[in-house]
Amino acid sequence: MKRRPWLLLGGAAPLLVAAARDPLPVKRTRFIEVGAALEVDFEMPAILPLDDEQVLETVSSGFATRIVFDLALFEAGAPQSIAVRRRTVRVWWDPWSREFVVVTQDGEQPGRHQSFMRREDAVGSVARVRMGLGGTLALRRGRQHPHFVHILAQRNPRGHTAETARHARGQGRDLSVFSRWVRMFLGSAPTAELRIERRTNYFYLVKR
Amino acid sequence: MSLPRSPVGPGVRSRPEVIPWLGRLQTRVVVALVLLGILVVGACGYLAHMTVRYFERLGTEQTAVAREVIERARPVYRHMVAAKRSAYRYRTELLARDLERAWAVDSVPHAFDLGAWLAQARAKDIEALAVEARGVVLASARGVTDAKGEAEVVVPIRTIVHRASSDVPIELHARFIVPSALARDFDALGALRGELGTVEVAGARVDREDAVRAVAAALAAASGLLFLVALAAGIVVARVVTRRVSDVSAVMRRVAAGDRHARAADPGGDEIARMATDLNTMLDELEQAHAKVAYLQRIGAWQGIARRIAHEIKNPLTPIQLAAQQLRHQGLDLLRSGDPAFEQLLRDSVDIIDDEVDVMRRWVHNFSQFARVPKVHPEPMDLRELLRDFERAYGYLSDGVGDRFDVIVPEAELLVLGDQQLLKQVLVNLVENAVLSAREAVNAVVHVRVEARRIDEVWAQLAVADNGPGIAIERREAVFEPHETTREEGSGLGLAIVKKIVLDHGGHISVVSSDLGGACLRVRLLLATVRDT
Repeated sequence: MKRRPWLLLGGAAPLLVAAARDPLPVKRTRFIEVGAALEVDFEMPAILPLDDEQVLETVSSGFATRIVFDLALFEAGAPQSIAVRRRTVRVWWDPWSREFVVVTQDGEQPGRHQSFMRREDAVGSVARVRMGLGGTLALRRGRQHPHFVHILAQRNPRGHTAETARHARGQGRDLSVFSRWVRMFLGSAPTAELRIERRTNYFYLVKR
Repeated sequence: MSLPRSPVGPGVRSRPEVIPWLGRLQTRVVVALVLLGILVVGACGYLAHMTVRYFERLGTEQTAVAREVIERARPVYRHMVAAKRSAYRYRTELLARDLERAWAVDSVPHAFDLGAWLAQARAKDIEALAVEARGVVLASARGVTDAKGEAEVVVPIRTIVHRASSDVPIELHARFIVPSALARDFDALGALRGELGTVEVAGARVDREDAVRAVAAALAAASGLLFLVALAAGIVVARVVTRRVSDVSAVMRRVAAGDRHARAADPGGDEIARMATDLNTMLDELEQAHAKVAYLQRIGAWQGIARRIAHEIKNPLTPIQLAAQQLRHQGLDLLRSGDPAFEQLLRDSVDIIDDEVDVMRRWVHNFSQFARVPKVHPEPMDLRELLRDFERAYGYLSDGVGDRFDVIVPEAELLVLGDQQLLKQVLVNLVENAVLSAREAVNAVVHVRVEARRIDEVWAQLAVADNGPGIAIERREAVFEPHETTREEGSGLGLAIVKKIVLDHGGHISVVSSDLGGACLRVRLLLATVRDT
């Protein structure tokens, strides 16, 4: 009889481990308050590693490589995000100008063009993210209100496909039904060539 | 307590009422359907999987071709760009030479009108020109391009203008405009290159290998579901079909058990309904035939009884009538004459009447005994005990001089289902019949042997053998009919009573030749263990 609690604990341990959410790795990040705006500054070289020959070859191929950063600002413990931002960066070798071109677009704003003679500089520019997270008025100040940012970086995300290819329609009802049936067995299909998910360190706004 | 029904013949075991699970028709049909379903679903699934793999291979080949096309397009694009840039460079060089010539005539660089030169050259693809010396713009001009407001690719070209009169290097910067469609198409080619090896599945773009695996899993799951549906349908169909067959079988068992009024339900118009209809028709005809036979048997039995009664009554009546007539004719004369012979005549006549009445009484007694065979109450009993009791009671039949009465008692326990009193009567009748038959055969020595033994897992056998005249093969069934006897003193009811009792025990009786020279009557009784099973 005395063994029963230990047996229950032993049996439940795998379930508890399975139920526990995988903690995201922490990314050391700088947060800067500029006036009434909050900016985030970090580097993510792993999204375009310079030691990966295939990645570098792709960057130099003339075809654009697309990097998407999705940032969501949270107050610690809150389930809903305070702000969501997206940055899309495209980098490619331009044979006309014989330069590496980096086009950075924040949200729906017009893209900002940069040119680099060296590939490493272009890649470094892509991996360096400094962008605004929005105003600080909506954030509660003080040490007791820590915040963090959830970062999702994707290289060549697959959502960027032609609209006509997004849905299995126009190919007959049977094929549509079968397509949805097959979709059930795909599980969590990879949505990008590379996907990196991180959580920043906590920060708080100094009281004024 | 219910007894197993009488078998068709000795040694034939009755079939169990409950059919084992594996022996049921329903189980076999379901198993057959399951195996068939597995075979069909497995074959279809395998073929579908092979088809998917085949088309996946075709897709892989097509992807390889498309990838090669794109890879070959890339150097073509680069070569084209390089050629275009060379052309721009040459044009810029020509412009530089023009500029050199102009400066040779006019020492003032500003005199060269770049705008006029651009207009004269009709260079629609030059966006701007600039002459710089150490970063200082000496002259500049903007061209009139065909740009239509769309984003364009700008190609910067730089060259050196040689001027003998100055040591300061002068650079000529030209910016050419290239239609953006070319770069856009190349960019779209890159996007397509990124999608090579992937497919769109219900809004999700995934690797083709993942899609193939998902298709295989989807096919397997669909096949499994179809198989389960087919299995359920098969079970239902098998249950419906076999239940109707079982209903017909149940009716047959009820009829066999004696319920002549049982009939099968025959809904529908299929083969099973037709079988039920035919069975009902057959049972109706059998019942009618049985009623006729039973009626004729009853009439025949009554005729036989009437004939037998008439015969048995007529035999003693004749001497009684003769004795009465003798008394009437001679007795009156002797009585009137006072002859003392009258007394003797009267005594003889009374003796005759008395004897014949006694015969009639004994005959009536046998009839009464035959009619009052009690109901059997079988229970486990040891045949050894029965034989020992019988040996104690009838051991006097062995006189130690000539006649022999052997009772062979088995060593092992021999439990049968029987009514001890009635089985004792069976033994008495059989032994009495054997002794009397042997004596009537005028044998000097009567030898009767009684023995019991176990036959198999179901039956035990009680045998009475004698050294009498035996029973002819053609009469071995008839001897059990009432009033069938070969003995002058026999009533013909002894063996009939024996057979009645044996049948009531669920047993069987038969006649064979004895090794003692006469007949051997074998009684087979159910072992007590049969009831337990």
